[in-house]
Amino acid sequence: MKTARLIRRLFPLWLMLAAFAGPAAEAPLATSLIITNGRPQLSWTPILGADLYEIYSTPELGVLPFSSDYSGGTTGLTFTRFTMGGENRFFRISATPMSSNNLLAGIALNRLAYGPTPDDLEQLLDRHPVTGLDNSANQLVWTNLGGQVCTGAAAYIAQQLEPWRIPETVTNTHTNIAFIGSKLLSRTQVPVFVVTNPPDGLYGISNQVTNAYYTFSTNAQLADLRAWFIQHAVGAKRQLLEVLLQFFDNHFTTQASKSYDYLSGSPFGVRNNTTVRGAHAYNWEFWEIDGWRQALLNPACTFYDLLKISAESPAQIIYLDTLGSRGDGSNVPNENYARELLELFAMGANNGYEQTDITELAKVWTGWKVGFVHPTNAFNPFTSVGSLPYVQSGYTNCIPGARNVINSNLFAVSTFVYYSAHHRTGSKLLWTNYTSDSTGPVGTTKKVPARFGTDWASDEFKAGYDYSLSMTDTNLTRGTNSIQEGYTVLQRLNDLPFTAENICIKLCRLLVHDNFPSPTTLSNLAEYSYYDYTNPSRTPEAELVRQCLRAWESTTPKGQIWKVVETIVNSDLFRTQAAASQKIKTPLEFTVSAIRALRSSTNGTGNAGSFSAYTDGYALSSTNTNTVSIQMVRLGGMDLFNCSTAAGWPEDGASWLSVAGVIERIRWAQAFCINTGQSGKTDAGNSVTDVRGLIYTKLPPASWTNAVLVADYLVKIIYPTEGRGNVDTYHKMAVTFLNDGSADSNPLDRTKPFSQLPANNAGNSSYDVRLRGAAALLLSLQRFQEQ
Amino acid sequence: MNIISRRKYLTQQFKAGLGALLATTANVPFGVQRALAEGNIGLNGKKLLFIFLRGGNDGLNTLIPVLDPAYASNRPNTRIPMDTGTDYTTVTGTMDFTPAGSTAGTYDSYPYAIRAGNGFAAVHPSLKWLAPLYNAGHLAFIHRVGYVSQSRSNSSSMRYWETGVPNDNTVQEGHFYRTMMQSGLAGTRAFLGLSFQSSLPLSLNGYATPAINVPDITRFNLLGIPNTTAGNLKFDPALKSENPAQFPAKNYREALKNNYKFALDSLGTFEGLVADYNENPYRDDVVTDGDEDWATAWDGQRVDSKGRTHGPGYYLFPKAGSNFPSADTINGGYARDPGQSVTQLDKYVITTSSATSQSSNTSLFNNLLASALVLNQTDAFIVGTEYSGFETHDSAVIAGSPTTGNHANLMRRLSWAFYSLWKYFSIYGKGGTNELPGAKTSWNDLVIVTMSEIGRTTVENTTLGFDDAEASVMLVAGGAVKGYGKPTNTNGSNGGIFACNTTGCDGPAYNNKTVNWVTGNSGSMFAAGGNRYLGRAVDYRSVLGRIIRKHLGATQNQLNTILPGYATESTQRLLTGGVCTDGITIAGEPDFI
Repeated sequence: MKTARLIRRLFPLWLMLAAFAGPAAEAPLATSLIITNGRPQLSWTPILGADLYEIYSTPELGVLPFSSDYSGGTTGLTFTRFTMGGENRFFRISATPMSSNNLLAGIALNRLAYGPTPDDLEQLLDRHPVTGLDNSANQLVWTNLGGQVCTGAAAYIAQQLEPWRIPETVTNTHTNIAFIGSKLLSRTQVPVFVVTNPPDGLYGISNQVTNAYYTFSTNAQLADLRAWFIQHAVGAKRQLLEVLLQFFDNHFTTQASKSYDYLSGSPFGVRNNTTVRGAHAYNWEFWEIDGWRQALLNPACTFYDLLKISAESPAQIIYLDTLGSRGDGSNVPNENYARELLELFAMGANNGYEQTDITELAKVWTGWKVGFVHPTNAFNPFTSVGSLPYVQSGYTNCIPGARNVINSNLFAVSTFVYYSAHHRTGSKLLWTNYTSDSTGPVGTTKKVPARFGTDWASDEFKAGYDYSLSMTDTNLTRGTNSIQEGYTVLQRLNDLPFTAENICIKLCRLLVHDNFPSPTTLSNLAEYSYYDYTNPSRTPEAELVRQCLRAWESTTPKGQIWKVVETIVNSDLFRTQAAASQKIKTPLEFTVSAIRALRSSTNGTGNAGSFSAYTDGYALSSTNTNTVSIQMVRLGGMDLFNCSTAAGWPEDGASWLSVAGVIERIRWAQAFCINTGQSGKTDAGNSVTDVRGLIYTKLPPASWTNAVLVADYLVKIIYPTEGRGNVDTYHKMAVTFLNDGSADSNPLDRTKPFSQLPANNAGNSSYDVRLRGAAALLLSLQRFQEQ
Repeated sequence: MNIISRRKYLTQQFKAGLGALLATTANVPFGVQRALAEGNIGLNGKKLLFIFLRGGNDGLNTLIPVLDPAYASNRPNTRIPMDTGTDYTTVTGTMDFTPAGSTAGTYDSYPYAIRAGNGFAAVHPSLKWLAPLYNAGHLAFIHRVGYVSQSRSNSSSMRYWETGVPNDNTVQEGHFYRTMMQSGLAGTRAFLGLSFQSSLPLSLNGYATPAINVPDITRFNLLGIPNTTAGNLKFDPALKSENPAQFPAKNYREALKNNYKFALDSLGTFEGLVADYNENPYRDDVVTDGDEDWATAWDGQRVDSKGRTHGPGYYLFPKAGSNFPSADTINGGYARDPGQSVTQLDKYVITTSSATSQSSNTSLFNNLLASALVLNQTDAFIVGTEYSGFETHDSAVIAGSPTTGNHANLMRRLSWAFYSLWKYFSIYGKGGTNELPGAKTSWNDLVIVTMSEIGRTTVENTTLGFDDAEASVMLVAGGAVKGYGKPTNTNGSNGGIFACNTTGCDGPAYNNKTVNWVTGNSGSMFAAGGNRYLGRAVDYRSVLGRIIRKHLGATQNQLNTILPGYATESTQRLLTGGVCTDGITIAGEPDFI
């Protein structure tokens, strides 16, 4: 009592106390108390993941207990009391944090998937998003290979770590998927060449085939491949697999248009026939992701497996100029692939190599070509081919559409071939030290730097390890045997700690947050000490990288991707607020996650035609066969399968944040929610949503015209990670929007609140348009840019 | 060095500025209050237009050391040949250029290196439209530009060129961003800088976002639901009501808040420019080069929708269109009426081969048109774009025809870009011959600068291309440039060419530092690290620094913040030159402006 009186003297009218009723360590902090017209307004700081803020008060501190204060209302982080009540009063603010399961569900669905769907949330959350009741009976259950039974978010994570055990049903979700799939060629399938109305006399006189006379009616073009890929992102059950495929496709970047252009070059001569060029060039992109998909469906998939697919990919051989690089005679090999292999694909910039290694490595990558061979030789790089354009002997006319080949009964597939005549013979010495003028090795070799320490299972990771690679020249290493040099290097790269660091750090950035600096062996750079694994006080991020390296190097074979991913998702950094909402969505992630946010199979079948939100895939890429992905480019230049920089698209959020990008993202969200056929729909094309259908499916009829309940549901499914208490402002905005008839096309509805609109109207009714607007508004807000 | 403290060093300065914005500029949509009330950046009307040549421009086939015998011997298939009828040792002071003549032959592509007039250098023949600027003294070439411990990685080096802090990957703010933050206009205008490209370049990037990137000037507005005026009036305010909301701190929340605020506050900003952008009425005409082809083909004057008259001529900013190049509204550039003789097609800037090719080639000019409009009609003072495709590992030239091919195409468009910007601001800028209403910028107010992160190897590879290397060339143009013939020029017989000559490189234009070009296989072209890279003689920061201080109006104190290397003259040598930490002598700031 004495204390209370003292406080009352100091604060004669109102007193705030900040306290926290929940289990979280952090408490909301009262920031202001303003009294306007006799009505006090109490504000406080937000708490991470707060599901609920509650106000308690008592008129006599220490005498009467605090009780819930219902004499006011809360908007966002402000409580306004209706009256003063003529008394002094003490307040306590309480925050209830979201459960660890719900937090983890939000993180998992945003990082291991392209965002949550309403159905996902019903399977993962503790409480049902509509009823608010205990949801344990509905939760996903998954028994991992270790026999451990998991539920909710933990089950989802365990499931996604074993995609080979998930039955994939994505083909059922849209008719385009099977259709496009039938147009994509395996590596042994020859393009289907269809002749349509060649004019008399064309044979033998023209060196160009035009689209007017020929078409590939059944082969996929770039737009098809993009649509197919996007469809998988939207609807696949194996979401993490799709996320990783996008990651590795971006990591091992190639550019479809460069392949396409190559095929128009004079040596090849597929000039004006765009479908001929596309059938080859775009399938090279498909082979990459198909190869990585198959590789990643192996539980023991290694980085080497993925790297090898990239190195042998015709698209990669063309993209970084390996195709034209010669080492025979006095020819100087092209360094492009060698540099990016070290800098981007494997070791990372300034991380264990120098220019002389690039120059030396460039000699290895000579002789790797793209050839045209009989289908039986699709996997035989030693097929005897002639010089450029590397066509199998005896199959000169096997490329329909090529120069002087009007039609042919011979059919070829395009593939990786090894043309040893262009290879640089002689010994190669990698990761040795050279004289300052680079004229020759000084006799010392490169060693793993001290920052690695020695606490590793494999010698290659230990400080002081000599990781130089000497490939000597003998009769046994010449001719076609010289191809082995490339594979030897790829394997060595897989086993190096520098490669492990670069890849693990990129995966950490993908799955946790962006603030993992790039590693380096240059001791004068700050990053060197950041990744000093001998430092007992290293950051949690550096420690996570160390644990990933441990997963990489302690398995046989080394470099198993799923072990690294498992290490990351089991870390505290992944499972806490350290990861939640710390990243910015790429254009692909933004659009796909928006579709998924409103996507439920309204009849529960999961079949095409039943979804409340979907895309035909083309609408997010391009409806034209060979042009850029208009939507993705507008949203930030993310032209799928056609990145122009070898570094790929950036993962860090700052690179995707811009003022114009914000405008384009809002425009897209608006267009996505606008009904088909209505003004403004063009931007989103055939990416559509039926918000009304979703509401009808998920909410009981009595709630359909209840703005508060409709808004509450939308906020819960679109913002499951933030904590319902923290997005209360969004809820209020959505309620206001639903009740605002000012933009209704029917003048009679403009003064009506949401509750007075008939809910069973057809599309484009005031009810439907207001629902669409509220959904678009929620998809346009800042927190939806985060993941 | 502590990685976090370095980032904080740069970030904290500008966070302080942002706080000022939030506290005091309720009616000001962009920018922040300047911390230091000094200098004239943004207040003196001086402006900068940058063009970043992405991929690493081959400086050696741009400004060609044609009289260095090592140039020819190391590029047997890719060198730009000398014209046997031209004595390249003659010091003429001017660049050889044959304007349109009376015979068709004068329109043909000139298949030789164009003599640059300093007795040593030449330029790529596709750069011929630089000659009028150069010969008027408005253009400077600064060759052998790089930085200490040069990275040959495209991505790393791009970062360093744009942050102004070499070999530090932690800096997140660009040098142009820091320049804007030092401006007296900070916090008083909707924006101070813009880029017109796919995304905001790192050079303009920073915490307080005083610059924006605009991929498409015609799309800077929102839809409504329904997509009506009433729909907009309902949706836009609803969006704006979000920004006061508080959330727990996360990585990008402040940045998101700023970007949203700036985006929503600037909706409709460009509506006044879109009509001009779409109409694109700006042309070069008979006056500029004496070419009367258009005059004979057309019937008199051209009048645009605003009643402004234009003499017939070329479009300064070529645009692609469905019926390109036949309709005069879209053919642009110095494309001619296709009814003219075939030889005149050699003067096309933009290929006529396909709509796709046109689109990719005209994007540079679309972006430059938008840049010119914004520079001329707003107070934004740092505006720019990028031009990609310079990573010519492969097929830089066409076999047997080294003056054609990918690099030649890039050079041709780049030279027309400089020419067109010169003509635009001379004709339509402040005080121009056909000054636009409200024009804010004259040619004398503007400096155009190119940047490119690396050069290409001195030795060609087997694919008729060049690999990633070190130093390259920068081009600087503007009325204030002290080029050939200008009374202020201190570069003697080298006119506007810096660091591509064998004598005179230690004069006042170079702060009396000896950085002469040494010829031969052990000379300047092989001076750097791996003996196949053009050695640096000038630091890129010295070039940018001189522009930022002498043209934009920064004080030395401000420049020390904008480009931190200036604060450590004893090792970086950016101002007065000298021996750097890697043992290379650089010239300091060349006296080009």
